[in-house]
Amino acid sequence: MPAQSQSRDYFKNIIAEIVKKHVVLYGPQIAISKASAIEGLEVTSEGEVKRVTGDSEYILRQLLAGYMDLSTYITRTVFLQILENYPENTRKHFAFLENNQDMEKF
Amino acid sequence: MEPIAVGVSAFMALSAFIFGAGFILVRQKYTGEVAASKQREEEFKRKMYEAEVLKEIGDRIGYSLDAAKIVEIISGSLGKLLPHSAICHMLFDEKEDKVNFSCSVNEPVSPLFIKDVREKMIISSKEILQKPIMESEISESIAGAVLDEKLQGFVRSYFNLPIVISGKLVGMINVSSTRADLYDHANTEFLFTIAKNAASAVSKLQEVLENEKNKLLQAVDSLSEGVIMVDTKYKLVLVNRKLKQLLALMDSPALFDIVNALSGTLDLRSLVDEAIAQDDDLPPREIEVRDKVLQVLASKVIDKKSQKEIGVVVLFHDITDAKSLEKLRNDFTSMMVHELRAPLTSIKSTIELLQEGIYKKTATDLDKQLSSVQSTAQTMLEVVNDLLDVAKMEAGKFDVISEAGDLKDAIRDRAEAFKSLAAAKNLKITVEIAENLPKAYFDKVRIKQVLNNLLSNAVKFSNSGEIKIKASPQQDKSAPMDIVVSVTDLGIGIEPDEGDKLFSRFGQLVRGSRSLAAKGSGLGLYIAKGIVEAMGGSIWYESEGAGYGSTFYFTVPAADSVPDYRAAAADQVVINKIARA
Repeated sequence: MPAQSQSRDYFKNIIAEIVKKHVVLYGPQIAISKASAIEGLEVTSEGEVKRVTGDSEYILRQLLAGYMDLSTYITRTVFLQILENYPENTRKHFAFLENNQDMEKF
Repeated sequence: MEPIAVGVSAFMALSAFIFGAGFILVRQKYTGEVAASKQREEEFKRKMYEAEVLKEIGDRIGYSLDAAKIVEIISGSLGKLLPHSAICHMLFDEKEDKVNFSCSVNEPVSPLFIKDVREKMIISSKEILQKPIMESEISESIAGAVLDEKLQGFVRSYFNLPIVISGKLVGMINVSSTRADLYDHANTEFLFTIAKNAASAVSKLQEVLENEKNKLLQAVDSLSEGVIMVDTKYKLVLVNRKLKQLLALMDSPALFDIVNALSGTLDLRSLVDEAIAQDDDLPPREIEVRDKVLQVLASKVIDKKSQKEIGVVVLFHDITDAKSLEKLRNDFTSMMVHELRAPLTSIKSTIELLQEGIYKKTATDLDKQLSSVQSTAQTMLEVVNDLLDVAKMEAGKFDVISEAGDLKDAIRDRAEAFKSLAAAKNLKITVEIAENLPKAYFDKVRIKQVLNNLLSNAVKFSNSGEIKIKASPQQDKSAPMDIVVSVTDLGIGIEPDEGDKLFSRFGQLVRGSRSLAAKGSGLGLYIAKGIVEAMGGSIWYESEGAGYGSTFYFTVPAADSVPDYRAAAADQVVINKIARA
């Protein structure tokens, strides 16, 4: 499988994991309504990602930004934990999050 | 019907239709606008209400640093903003490993409802804390409406609002209801904004306080005294670097390590109790730990606001050097008393002898005994002069008057003066002066004192061999030219550990104790150093160790290298005062 296509799959998986985690963290309604507000992302009422249409990396970034509205610290921590299970090639897309120690702590 | 009549009728019908449709459209538009306006008004009212609640929350939080209070305030205000069956919150006490779970029940719910809420909050908290929460850690309090076991309602709507301050989860608020689909991102967004803003403000305030605390800790850490602070529950609040160094403690010691390091010399717990019980500071006490003498001072710390004791600060002052100095002073005083008393006793005895049989004595006997009295009195005078010189030096009143002159004359004069004394001990004094020795800039009277001291020491501490005096010019790189004078003997030499103290006031105490012949104030080298340095030179020694003799060096500036000398006439006098602490 070409690397670019593999990365896209990884992004979709990460999106699904992020949504699931936030469902647990904040409750399903808030986590799902936040995710559903993102164009190109369809989420079921159970928090399962139904469809990702378009640039999955861009959608993932939008999703992170949306969840960071709730708590930058929590979303960043959760995301970095999830990212640990993905290859370096995928991780490097979000290196700015790992390296930025000055990000707000709340 | 006539075609014209039909046409008119159709036109009328069409007009009526158009009018009717227009009316409906206008009406609809009007109704829509009214509805939108009403919605805007409601939205505005809601925003106003939210702003009021936000202000109330802000006012109540104020500048509080108490995370629990912030969680309670936000939690307590939410009921006014959102429909709910219960509002619960959890507070995490990391230090005590405790979780407080509180619920305010707004309408009757089943105990299972509360259990469900609690479970949801625990799962969320575990995700954030990344550690398990034990049931035994949780304490629970439920208030408000009565829990009804007959009710079946489960949690059908809920959301969690975690409160994270300075990267730590301090609390979590949960709003829940038995009704479905009550909360979404749109109607809860502002709550997350409140929580974020409050947490941000506290985080920043905490950071400022932490910075200030760090500054204080750094100040305490850089103190030259060892410091610990213990609270009223005997918990170690702080320990500074100096104390860790004094007691050879590891980086983050516990109170037990400190007690252990004090090895029974100090009962820290009793000291803390005593300090708390006393109104005034405790009198200082001295302890000996790890070859050091420490003075221990304890005083209680009182909270300015509550006027209650919050702990005790114990200061450990290293007085090892002061104690050694005190001992040296005592030894010095004893030595001086002895140095003055012995000749006085000798003079007294000789005079008594003279009084007893003065008419029976021959002129030779009388001359011999009077010479002895004169010599002994001279020794006393020298000791007293040394003491006076030191007193003058320390008062900054010891004048050194430098002028240009031949150093070789002063050296030869002193060598000649000491020859007979040296010969009495079978010692030979030789002088070696460089041919090109330039004129020096020195105090002609005081230089004799320096040479006298070095030569008398060489004679005093030698039993055989030669005492060599050398003088030669020396120039290092771009430094002004100096004349180096050295006095070498083959006497008792100098131990490395006595070298540091040799030029101090009490330096001769150690060296003098190694030679029975050593007499005098022992202040000679201290005075010599003062004179040499005031003339712009330096003094030092070299010795291979005990039994290998020693060489004392001192430098005197060459007259040409002294700017004052060059600028002024050759006979101009410059006065340097020795000022010492």
